Amino acid sequence: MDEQQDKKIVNRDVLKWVIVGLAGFIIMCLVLGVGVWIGAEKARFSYRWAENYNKNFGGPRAGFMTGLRRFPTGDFIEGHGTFGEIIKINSDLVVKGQGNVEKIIVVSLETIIQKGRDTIKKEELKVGDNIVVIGSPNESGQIEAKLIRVLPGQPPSQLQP
Amino acid sequence: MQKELKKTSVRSYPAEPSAGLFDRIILAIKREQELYQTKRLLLIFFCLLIVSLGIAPFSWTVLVNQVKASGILYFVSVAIGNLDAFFLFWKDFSLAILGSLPIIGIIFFTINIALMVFAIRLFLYKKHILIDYLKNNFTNFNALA
Repeated sequence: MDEQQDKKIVNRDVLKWVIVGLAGFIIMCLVLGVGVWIGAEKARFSYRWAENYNKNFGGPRAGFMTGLRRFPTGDFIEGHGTFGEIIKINSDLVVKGQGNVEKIIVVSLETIIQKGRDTIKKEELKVGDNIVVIGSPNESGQIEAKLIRVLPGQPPSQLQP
Repeated sequence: MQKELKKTSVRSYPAEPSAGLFDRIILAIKREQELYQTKRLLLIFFCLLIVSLGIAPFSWTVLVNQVKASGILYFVSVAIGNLDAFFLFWKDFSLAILGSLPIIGIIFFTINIALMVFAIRLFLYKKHILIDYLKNNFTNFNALA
């Protein structure tokens, strides 16, 4: 009788650890999947940014992917958000952000631009303004802005170590 | 001759062990083993504590620098400051925040904290044994001095 009870307890313990192991494995797979997906998104945007650099910023005719010289060293470029200083305004915005990488921010009529508590227009943005942009990358290696937030004070790029 | 042989053989027999001698030997061996274990535990505890405390400022600096460089704080503050926009563009916000996570800094700092917690837990778990050992050693050292 006691032996049977002991066996039941052992079986229950084994089952508990099997469930814990499976749950851990599923969580690990999910985290890995999210990491791979985000990495792929960043790599895709970095590739498009480098591929279209000459078209967007006016670089060498051959482009930059031939020698991979201007491909940003270190990490890939984030395509869903950026922060930095506006260095040029034409139909789009050019922002100098992390690692002094320039990005083109496409502003559409749907883009929400906020400064403090107010919503402002694109025309009210100035060169030198520090902004945080949330958006999505397009095929040309640009960011289509959905929300632009103007930051007060020191440029974020100068806050970096 | 036979008598003499008998006498010597009787003399060479070992003396009858006193009662409880075996138990005392076993106890002494156990004490010695416990002492060895305590010394080992104390060494592990001090090594872990020194290593974790030593790398703590370095790992903290790495984390802070990476957080600053990644800009994650800007994205989080914009998300908190514009909750309606956050819910509207949650996918882009999530990807921006996840994409700028300073993974290396977080892993480095978490390992550091885990080491420190493990060392403290080790001490708390065996605190009576370790404190007694340290007290005894300190008293012996004072007596010698």
